[in-house]
Parts: sequence; C-alpha cells; structure tokens
Amino acid sequence: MTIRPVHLVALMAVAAGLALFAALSQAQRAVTTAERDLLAAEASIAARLLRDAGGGDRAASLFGGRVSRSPVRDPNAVEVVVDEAVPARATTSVFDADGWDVVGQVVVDEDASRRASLPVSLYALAAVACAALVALATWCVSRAGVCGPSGSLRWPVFTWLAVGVAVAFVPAALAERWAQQSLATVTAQRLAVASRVLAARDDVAALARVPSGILGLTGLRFVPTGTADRDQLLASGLPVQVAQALAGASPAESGHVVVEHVSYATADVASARLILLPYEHVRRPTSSMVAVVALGLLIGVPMIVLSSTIGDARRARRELAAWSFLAPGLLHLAAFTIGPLVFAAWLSLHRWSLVDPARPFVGLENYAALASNAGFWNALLNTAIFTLHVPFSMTLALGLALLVRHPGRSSVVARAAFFLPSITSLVAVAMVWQWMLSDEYGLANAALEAAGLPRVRWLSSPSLALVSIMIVATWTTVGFQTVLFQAGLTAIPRDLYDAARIDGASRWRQFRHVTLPGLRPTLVFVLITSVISSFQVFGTVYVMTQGGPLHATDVAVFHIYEEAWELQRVGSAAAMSWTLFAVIFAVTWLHFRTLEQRAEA
Amino acid sequence: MTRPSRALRLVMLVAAVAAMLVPFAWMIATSGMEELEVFQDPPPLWPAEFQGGNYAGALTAQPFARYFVNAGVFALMVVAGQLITSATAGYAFARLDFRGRRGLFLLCLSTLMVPAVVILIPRFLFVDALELTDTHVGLASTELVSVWGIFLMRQSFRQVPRELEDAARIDGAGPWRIFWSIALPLVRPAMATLALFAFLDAWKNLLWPLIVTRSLEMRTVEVGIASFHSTYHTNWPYQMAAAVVAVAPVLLLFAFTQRFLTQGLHMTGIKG
Repeated sequence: MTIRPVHLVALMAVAAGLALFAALSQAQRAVTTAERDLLAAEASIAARLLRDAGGGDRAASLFGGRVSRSPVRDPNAVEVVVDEAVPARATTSVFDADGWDVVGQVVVDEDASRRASLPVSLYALAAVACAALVALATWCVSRAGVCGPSGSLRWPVFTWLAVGVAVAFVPAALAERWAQQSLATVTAQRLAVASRVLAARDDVAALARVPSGILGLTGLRFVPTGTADRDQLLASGLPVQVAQALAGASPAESGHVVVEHVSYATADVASARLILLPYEHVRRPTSSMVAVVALGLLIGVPMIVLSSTIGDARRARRELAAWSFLAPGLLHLAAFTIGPLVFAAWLSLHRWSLVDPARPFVGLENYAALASNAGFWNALLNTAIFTLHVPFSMTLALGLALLVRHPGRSSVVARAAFFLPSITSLVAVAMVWQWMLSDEYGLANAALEAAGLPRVRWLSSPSLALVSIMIVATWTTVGFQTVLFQAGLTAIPRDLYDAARIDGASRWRQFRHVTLPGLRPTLVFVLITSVISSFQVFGTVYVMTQGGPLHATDVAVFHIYEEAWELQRVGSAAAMSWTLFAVIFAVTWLHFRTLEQRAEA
Repeated sequence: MTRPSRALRLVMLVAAVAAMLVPFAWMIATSGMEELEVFQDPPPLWPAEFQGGNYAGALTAQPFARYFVNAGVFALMVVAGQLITSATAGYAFARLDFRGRRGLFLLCLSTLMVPAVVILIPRFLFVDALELTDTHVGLASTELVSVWGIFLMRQSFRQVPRELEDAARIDGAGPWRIFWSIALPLVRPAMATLALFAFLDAWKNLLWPLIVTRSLEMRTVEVGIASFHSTYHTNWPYQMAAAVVAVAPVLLLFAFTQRFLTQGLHMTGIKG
C-alpha cells in the first residue's frame, strides 16, 4: 500500500491526542505529588520541632496516630515512621540546624480519603476532541492545500493552529485551576498542623515568634470573623493568637487567616528550624503550558515547514514524508537527550534532593561551591590523568593494526582475539583484573616474583591505583581501536604504496608519507571518540576500587554518581555534570581546531 | 615478506593475542579452584581438580536466570528500537530532501558529546515521574535511539544506487514504499551490525540499569554480577564462575557474528 501524506498526518493527530492526554495526567500528577509532599512537609515540621522536645508520642497524637516513633539511630535525629502496615507514600528528610546535612527521615502515608482526582471523562473527552479536530484540519489541508491550487493553504493553517491551541488550553487550564485550589487547601491544613505542634509544646514564647518567621509568606491574609468569602481558603486550625500575629492584627480582633499563595520560608523557633516548604510544582512549567507547547510542536513545526511551501504541493509532500521518517528518532532525542540536558542545567540552579520536597532555587550557589570543592577538582584531575592512556593505547592499536593488516589465517584469529575484551562484560573484566592485580595472591605479582622483581601494590597504593585502572582501560579499548584502524588501512589505495616503492621509499618513509596521511581521518575519529569516552569512565572504577584508595581513582563520573545517589545532592551533582560537559565540549572543540589548523598548514 | 620479519611478526602476534586472552584463561582457571586453593603462593595455574560445583553455587546464590532474562529483554527492546529509529532517520538524512537537513544532522551528531552522566539524573526523574522505574520499559525507554546508529545507517543508505530508487519512483512508489521494499533490503548487513552493537551495548550497560532497577528481580546481568562481586568479594572462585557465566553468552554471540561487527565498522565510513 502506498503511504500518503494523509496517513502520516492522521498518525500525527493520534500523537497530538496522546500529548494532550499526557499533559492532563501531568496536571493530575502534579497535584498528587504536591499533596504527598505537603503531607511529608507536615511531618517534617513536626519532626523538626519535636527533635529537642523528645515528644514522639505527642507527634503521634498530633498526626492522628499516623506517625509513630521508630528506634533512633542518631541521637540528634528524630525519626518518625508510619505504621509498617500502611503503605508509606511520602518521605522527607530531617535536617540539622544548618539545614544542609540530612540527619533523619520522615515517612508519611497518604490519606486516601483526601486525594482529589480529575474526572477521567475530562481526559477522554479532551483527547478525543483534540484528535478529531487535528484529523479534520489535516483532511482540510490535504484536500485544499497540499493537493489544491496555490495559496489556498493559508487559512486552514491558521485555523488549525488556533483551534489546536484552544483545544489544548481549555481542559488544561481547568485542570490547572483545580490543581491550584487543592494545593491551597493542603497548605491551610499544613499551617494548622504547624501551629498545633507549637501549641502542644506549650511553648508560648515560640508561638509568639512563629508569625514573624513565617510572615515571609506573603500569601497569608487575616480577615475578621464573619467577613470571609465562602470560597476563600481558611487556615481554620490556627489558634487565634497565631492567626492574629500572622496578620499583624490587634489581639482584640478575632478572625481567620486566608491562604492565597504560599512560598518558601524559614523561621528559627526555639532552637529548632521551622521550614515551610514551597510549591515548586506551581512554579514549574505548568500543565497548560506543557500541553500547549507539546501540541504547538506537534502541529506547528510541520505546519511551518509546510506553509513555507505554499503553492508547491510536491515540495510540501516531500517535506512531510521526510518528517515522518525523522519523527521517531528526533522526538526521542528531544525527550531523552536534549530535554534532559536543559533540565540538568535547571536542576543545577536548585538545591534538590530526591527525598526532600523542599527544592529551593539557589542560583549559582552550586557552581560557586564547586570552586572550593577539593574532592571534585581531584576527580577532574584524576580523569585528566586517566585520559593520558588514550595516546598510549592508540599507538599500540596502530601497531597491532599494522601487524594484522595482511590477509591470512593468523590475522583473522588475532583480530578476533583483540576484539574480545571490548565486547565482553565490563564488570566481569574488571573483576578478573582486580583479582589478577591483588596484592598477595594476584597473578601479576606472582609473575613479577617469578621474574625476580619486587611485588607491586597495584590497586592498594594511592600512587599506582590510577595507573592500574589505565592499564585495564587500555586492555579493554585497544582491540576496538585496532579494528577501526584496520578499516582505515584498507581504505588506503594500494597504488600509493606501489608508487612509493618504485620511488625507493623505505618502510619507515612509506609509513610516514603514505600510511599516516591516509589514516588521518581515522586517527582523528578514534582520538576524539576515545577521549570523550575516557572522560566518562565509570564501570571499571565502580567495580575495582570504588574511587579509592584515598580518592586516588575517584574519577568525575564516579564522583557525580556518589554526589547524586549516595549524598542525595542532585543539584550539586547536576552542576558537576554540566561542568564536565563543558570540559568535554572544550576539549573536543580544541581538538577540532588544532587538527583543522594543522590540516590547512 | 622476508623470513625473519615474518617470524618476528608471528612472535609479536602471539604475544599480543596472549595478552588479550590471559585474563580470560585466568578467569576460567580460577573459577574451577577450591575457595582456599587460590591463596597458594605461587598461585596454581590450573586447579588440581576442576570444581564445577562453583558454578552451581554461584548461580544459585543469586537469581542469575532472572538476570539473564532481564538483560535479554532489555537488550532486545533496545535492538528493536534502535533498528527502527536509526533506519528511518538514517534514510531521511541520506536520501530525502528537506529543509534543515544539514543542521539537524549536525545537531544529532553533536549530542554524541553529551556525557551520559549529565542526562542521567533528568532521565531518571523523567522515568520515575512516568512511574516506570524498575520495569523493563523504563529500562529500555531511554536507549531506543542511537546517534551512532543513525550515522551508520545514513552511510549505508548513501551507498544504495540511486537508479534503483528512481526506477521505483517512476513506477509510482512513494518514499515509504521505496524505503521499505528497495532500500532497506539492500542495507541488511548494516542492520545486522547495528543490531549486534545495540545488543552488546545494552548488555554491557551498567550505570543506567544500576540506577533504574531497585528490586533483585529486575537487575540485569551486569548489575547482578557487580552486586555479586561486592557480596562475595573474598571468594574468588565464586566470583570468577559468575564472571564466566556473564561473559560466555556474549562470546558465543561474538563467535558467530564477528564478521558483521568488523564489517560494520569498516562501513561506518570513517574514511571521511
């Protein structure tokens, strides 16, 4: 069957429907996670305040029995976990007074009754409507525009865009509003909990100080009794004193605090720190924006391409066909490579932990901290030293490629043997090398001893461990490079050698003036790819040394891995990884420049 | 070639091949030794009696069968994804005419410079937000496109004679038809190469599965033996038995397909 533009755009229509569906589910998800995080925040506040009060039982009573005390590992930490029988749904960290190091964890279950959800029919309706409209517009365009007379494409294009955006916007905006409302509700509840905690401690002094601390929350407003609108959200659980202080009202007045919006704020209360956690979700690109952008891309980009071909139906069809070929690969690249790259930059501007819902924007703080982070510089330096194995292994590979250059059985066997290390499991290879290089019983030391040489502490001495890793890396990569070089060698025309031989050129001169220039593109390719991949070494280090001894083999990727997954400092790890990217980019660019210049000279 | 230089070449070849194979041989030798036999000085080069029991012991200590299934499913999904995306995008870049072809191609190539670790965290957060962590789909989702594969396919599609496609076009075939029934059958060797490399890359991937999988049941072979390594880190025969088991299927695959691997590398057109 012939595939025609109509089929392709019909496919696009389905994709657009799916995109809208995804955007709506994201709105739903934003709310669910926000609620969960806020719930965790409540517990977090409780834990912070109870840390020096020692009132685990009280915490349980405040949270309606959902929280119970668990054995405390750290004497300074209050660790509160829910009953094991209830599935835990949210976690948050308890920080020390600096607000930086994690000293404990709070796990809270989700109260199912409080969970709101979007009606499913809204999703379905929106998705179907969207798909139908796009399909309709597609039909119009393929009818009137692409196949029709020139110029007639213009107004269907505009209609298509306008309608598509409107269709995406309405349900997404509805979802958005609903999301905001449920978020505010939870905040009101959370404020109530915070003040209940203080009241339970009978800490009147602290109670008096709370408001000045959280008055940074500009979204709170005090309204006298009886004047609140019905749809205003009231922090109804607040004791009157707190409510009054919050609003700066006179003590004689009675009333409520209205929640409008809440931002990140901290307050030091009686030797504990009260942190009100922000709605990062609200500040994120909101669901309606996501929907519009996704739909805009899906509909807009092909349309822009098409509209540039107005009046040229054949060209339009060609462009459409090409984009249908490119779509799967490019969409994936956008979603899983370019998007993440940008998102990593955004992450690096935040203090971000996988378990703590507080993710404040910190600007360039993470980058500034890198400047004085000796561990990271050490890791970068180690990576740079490690990269020095590349020229060595390339020289070796070139020699091997020349050895197996000529056809014959021995060459075939040897080539296969060279290739083995680079295709086998890196972990298995690292394991056997660790065993061979072990101090006491390793094969390498046994061989040295048999030859009458002293033993070497391959992996346990800080000065040698990195060299050992470099040896292993050379062993694993040299075969792959050999095959590439060998491919490059076969591309050099034989006549050149014959001519050189007739001119009486020696072996060395042939190599110098025929082989090397002929192999140049391959050399450049291998050099650049090897340097890039050696900047990213991970597996060997992870298995063999875990960065030790004394951080001697702590390379950049391993360091970033630890920062993100062991220390939970995702923002800082993102800053490190962007720095690494910048280094790789600079090195590659320098390579290209110098090599180009030399080629011109 | 003269006789002495031929002998020299042979000696060097044998030395190089030995250097490549010794770790494998030692892996197998150790895997057959008794737990304490390995700690003799000097170490025995071959076990006094090959202990096949080490294999049974290592394989039952952790659910290795499960690891193999996971790694296989993961790798096959990656192969399928990369074949589809690389073939279509590669064909577009090689043969189809559209605006921004050069720019887009350069953009694709430049993503090769992005270190995996930069996009690792956002990818994890993304997969986590879709609630796909600890699933095969989540594991494979990020690896379905290979820029190298797109490049490889583009190079091979460019070698397909244009006359064939022109003839089909005159007969009224559309671009997808030409792609499917003319061009694609002619680049089968390149597809085979790509499939193999995709399989090997997925099989060898450590960092991503390490992060995305949480439960024992979802681990791949690489993650499995890495954790086996830290659990049994003094029992070398056990470790080496696990290593042999992890390496063997790849070596078998390699034995049958080596031709495609090296041919494919010749084809990538690094000639420039």
